[in-house]
Amino acid sequence: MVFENVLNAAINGFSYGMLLFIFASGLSIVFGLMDVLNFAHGAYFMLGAYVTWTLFSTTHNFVIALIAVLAIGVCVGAATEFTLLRPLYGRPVYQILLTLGLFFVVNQLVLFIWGPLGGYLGPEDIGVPQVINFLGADVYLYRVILAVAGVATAIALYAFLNRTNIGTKVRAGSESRELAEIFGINIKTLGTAIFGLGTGLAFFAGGLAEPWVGAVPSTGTDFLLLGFIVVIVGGMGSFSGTFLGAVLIGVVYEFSQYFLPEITFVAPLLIMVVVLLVRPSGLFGRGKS
Amino acid sequence: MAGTTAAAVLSEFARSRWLLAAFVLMSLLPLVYPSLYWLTILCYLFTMGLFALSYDLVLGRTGVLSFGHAACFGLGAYAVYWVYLAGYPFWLAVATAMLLGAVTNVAMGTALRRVKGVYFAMFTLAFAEIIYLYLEKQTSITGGTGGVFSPRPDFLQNPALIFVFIGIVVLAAVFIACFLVFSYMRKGARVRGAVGLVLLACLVGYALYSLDSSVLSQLQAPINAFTVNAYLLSALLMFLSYYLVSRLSLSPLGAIMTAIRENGERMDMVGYDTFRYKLVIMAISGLFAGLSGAMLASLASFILTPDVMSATYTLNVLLYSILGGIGTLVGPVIGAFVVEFLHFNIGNIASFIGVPSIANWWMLIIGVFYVAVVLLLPYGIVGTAMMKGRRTLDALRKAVGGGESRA
Amino acid sequence: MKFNQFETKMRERTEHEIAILLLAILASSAVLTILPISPVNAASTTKVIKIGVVTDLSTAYSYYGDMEVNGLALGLAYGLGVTNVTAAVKSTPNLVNVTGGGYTFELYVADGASDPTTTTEKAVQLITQDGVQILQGAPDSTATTALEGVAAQYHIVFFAGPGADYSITANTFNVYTFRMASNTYQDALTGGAYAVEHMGRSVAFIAPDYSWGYGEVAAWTDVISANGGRVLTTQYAPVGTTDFTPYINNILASNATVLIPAWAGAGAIQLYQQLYSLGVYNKMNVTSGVPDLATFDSYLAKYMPNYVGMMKYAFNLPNNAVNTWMIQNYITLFKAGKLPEQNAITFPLPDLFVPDSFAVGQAIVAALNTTGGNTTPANMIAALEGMSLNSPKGPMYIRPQDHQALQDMYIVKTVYDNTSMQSYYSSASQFPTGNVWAGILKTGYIGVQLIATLNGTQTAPPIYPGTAGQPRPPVQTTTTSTTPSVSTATSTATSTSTSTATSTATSTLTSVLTTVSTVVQSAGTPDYVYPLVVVVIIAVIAAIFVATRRKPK
Repeated sequence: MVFENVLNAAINGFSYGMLLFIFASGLSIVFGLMDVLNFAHGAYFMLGAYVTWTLFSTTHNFVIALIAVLAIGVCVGAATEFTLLRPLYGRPVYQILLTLGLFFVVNQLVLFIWGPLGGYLGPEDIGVPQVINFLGADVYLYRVILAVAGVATAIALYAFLNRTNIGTKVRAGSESRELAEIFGINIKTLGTAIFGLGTGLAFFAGGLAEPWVGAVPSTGTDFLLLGFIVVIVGGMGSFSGTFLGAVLIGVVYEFSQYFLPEITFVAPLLIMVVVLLVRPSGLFGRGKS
Repeated sequence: MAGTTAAAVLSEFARSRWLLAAFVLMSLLPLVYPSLYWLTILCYLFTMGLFALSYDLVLGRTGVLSFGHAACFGLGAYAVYWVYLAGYPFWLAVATAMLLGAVTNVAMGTALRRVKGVYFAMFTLAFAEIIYLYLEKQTSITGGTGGVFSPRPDFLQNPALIFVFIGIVVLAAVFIACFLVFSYMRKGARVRGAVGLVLLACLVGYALYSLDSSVLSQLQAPINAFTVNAYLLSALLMFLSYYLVSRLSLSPLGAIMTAIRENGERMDMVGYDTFRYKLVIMAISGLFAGLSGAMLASLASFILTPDVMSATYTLNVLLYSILGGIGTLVGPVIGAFVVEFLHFNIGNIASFIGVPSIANWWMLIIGVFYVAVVLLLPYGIVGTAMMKGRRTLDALRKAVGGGESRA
Repeated sequence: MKFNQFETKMRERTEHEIAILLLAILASSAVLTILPISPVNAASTTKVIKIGVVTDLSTAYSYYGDMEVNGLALGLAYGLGVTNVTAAVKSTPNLVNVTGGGYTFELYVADGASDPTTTTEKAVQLITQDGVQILQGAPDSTATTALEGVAAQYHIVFFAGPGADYSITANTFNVYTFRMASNTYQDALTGGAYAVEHMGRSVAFIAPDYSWGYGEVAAWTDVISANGGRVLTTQYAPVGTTDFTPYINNILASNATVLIPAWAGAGAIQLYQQLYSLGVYNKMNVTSGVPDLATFDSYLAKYMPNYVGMMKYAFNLPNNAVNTWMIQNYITLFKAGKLPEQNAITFPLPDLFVPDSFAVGQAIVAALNTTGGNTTPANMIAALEGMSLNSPKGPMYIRPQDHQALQDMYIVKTVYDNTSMQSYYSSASQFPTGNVWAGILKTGYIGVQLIATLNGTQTAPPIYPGTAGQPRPPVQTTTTSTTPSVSTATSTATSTSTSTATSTATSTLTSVLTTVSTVVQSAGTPDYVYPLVVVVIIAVIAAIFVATRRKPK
């Protein structure tokens, strides 16, 4: 019994961490390049979950729905950046406030369009058996799949950042915007593209989370806070930091759900507070000032 | 000597004549236009105005972005509940609230040595959320999600108290009258003085006349007495606090605050210990935030839920500040008035303009407000108004623009 | 130097601006109060009664809010003896008019968003600004408790519901509160007794870790123990939990025969889904309350197969004329899209909470008939206490001690239903366009089948000590009705003041000012004397100042 709980906690923790990673990587990349703490990210996550539900209801194919929602997310993000954030270039505090307003607007729009009942897809709806027996314990199969998807996304992102031209430009821009501009990198269009990518990742994470967390109106706020915690704990702008931070927070979250439920929501906050006081640049960050 | 102190006091009143005039105006309102509905709403507006004022001290004047301000506010509100219901006198409860607010803000401020800018903002957010989540669980002292009935002080149920307030207002009116007399005596301002005096006399006279009409007996009915007294007390507290805060910002401390906002690093290099000054400002701001929380608990609300400590109120006060204009002390107060006024009357306004259903989508309106203000009115209402041909252009741009988030 | 001058100038102008903006608020406030809120009812020959409904129209509970308003309008129409319900019930957003039998009821609907603070603000607005004489609300129990406080403060009759917490008619009870809806204790008496009798004697609970959860578990535990059962374990999970596996494992390990999940709101789907996938239904008997058909069929039904549990109401459970009337008239309005709160998710037949507010409407009309149209709280309270009426759920009796309506409750089994809907609707075209339920005429839906009915006496909850003993206000024999904002109480200036130091100061000031005003009043002088008097006083003071000022150099 205890073994089953520990195994479940570990698997759930890692896969929840992967979900957080996909979500937080978008936040981290955007902040690294543009100094914008994107509050709307949580709302986009929720929007992604709802859109996936609608897409699945029409196409009955989960994989297609996911790919489509990723594309939609990129477009929405790029459009947001272009119309709303560009005019505030150079004024990051106001950009943050704008994303805050956007968070409320998108939250309410979702409620308006889809109504209060929400949409829930069970794993069996998408063709995945609920529970399998692994080492004598009942384990949720979908979460294992989620973990694999997360690792795959991590690898893809890593390859993108380190092996492609655009990725190099992004990393350069994150290090120092002025120098990158001197070298001829067009930070503005790059910013639009990266914001689009970040939002796409949020949508994608929302879609993946649909069969686990469901599309209910409160998911946006919860995930946003956890995403911020991951990014800060891991270190803003650091890819490996975000990955390891996400795993840490995910594992802590799930283990406390299993063994000490009272501190489930407080534990990640406490970790962030401690990290900020002891190592403000994050556990694995490179100390961005 | 008595003469010079009297002259100093009088000149101080003269300098704040507009504030006094506004105070007299708002306080005579119940007598001239007695509507329970408006008194209740205005009481809440004054409370939120004070809350916004305290936030502006930190954000607008000193340039520190804090997302945990609601913790001081909420703890102040609950402090009144705990202390007053334990049997201690009301003034002690309010004092505890202010102290608790100050202590909380200073506790958050101590992190300023390690973290700055956006990181500090996230730290304060986490700090406040932890307090909120923890206290929400303690149903015995906070009432859990359902909350507790607000601790309304008994002495405000006394209908005779209204005369005390009216007495204070009449005194203020007298001072204004003196000033108007002086300006009448100055050769260049006879007309202004005369007109002012007549207007004042009519207003005060009509108000005092109402003292023996049916309005007064209405106001003194037990159901209504509390509302009227609470309104008058909240007006008094808010105007008094505004006066104190604006005096503070004109003092040398205020100048240092502004300088820290402009360029904190230079202040460090020149030799000021900016960290200590920031702590002082956090303490003062916490005092007023605690006071506004106490006002909310005792005067302006019916139900006290742990929600007052949550990020919802911080986000609200952030909106008031940017709408009104951060850095200008009066801006956030005006911003609070406008937003909360809209909040209460959105039903009427929506029906009036023919789109009644938007009244149910208040959060959407808030979000649109945020986006619109940030894009179209970045310096806020008051800020934009003051910017025409002012040197504040540069100061405000520094406050909302580049350097601060990465300091 | 320049900086200080500048700052001074800025502050002066700033204070100027305060004054102007405050004046603007003052002016706009005066203007806005005279703006019409709603179209004035042309039929002013009828007696107008204003009812304030503070419910939920925007959060996850908005479906319950819709049911509350619809039920009230229908109940009022029934009580008034209306025959043409489409003509009698006229709704605009946030205001519903129900006309008939010499009365016009104006229902002011406000959205409290299930937040206690917003709810109380809206209620106070409805009472002070719109002058409502009766209050009703809310879906969420904490908001309902908050409304109780408002009712006590403003002395206004309050119908609590659908908020079901037992404490509302127990520890937080006040004499102005009435509840036609069934409470959690009545649910427990129905479901708990049945569970112990037919399902097993060893019980496990899972509930959310806050006051509602504790209340549910306490009530059901009482009932189970009283019927000879034993509670083996209670698992409290934090609100917002999405993974219930550890709690479910603990429950399975306890070897109880019955599981009672008490969970409403977010997380319910995950809970039932995980119960289903972990095979709990094969190892234990699971029972609890069956939720409303809309929520149930939207996503819970497949995770609650062949569920046997307690239910407050479903349209096919009672068998009486009032229920038939309610269903027929609900359908009439539904087809025309004219239910007061109707949207795409509205169920085509009356769902869980509709009969509760229907009974509220019936009770209001019956009380008004007794008091002769007088809405004075004291008279209404006297009329309502001990009232019996025939509601859609059968006979209801408003207990005079704690104002809780005793009523029938049901034990049901969930079954696939392909026939009952068809007896009311012949084709999907009768559904308003966009309604999500149009398809169930063809596909059927998961409904409920009656297993047992327990009557009001069997399900009567205990009377909380202290409720019966609270003094009721004395009945008035005057014919005028008063609203709280215009109180005609002729109280003198003195009142029971607390023993503080300010009391002596206030009494002296009071006596001085009242002496002045009585003197002036008794002289019989016309109105314009007063401003002149004030001017004279100010002139005297100014003269003193002028005489004592220092001579300029």
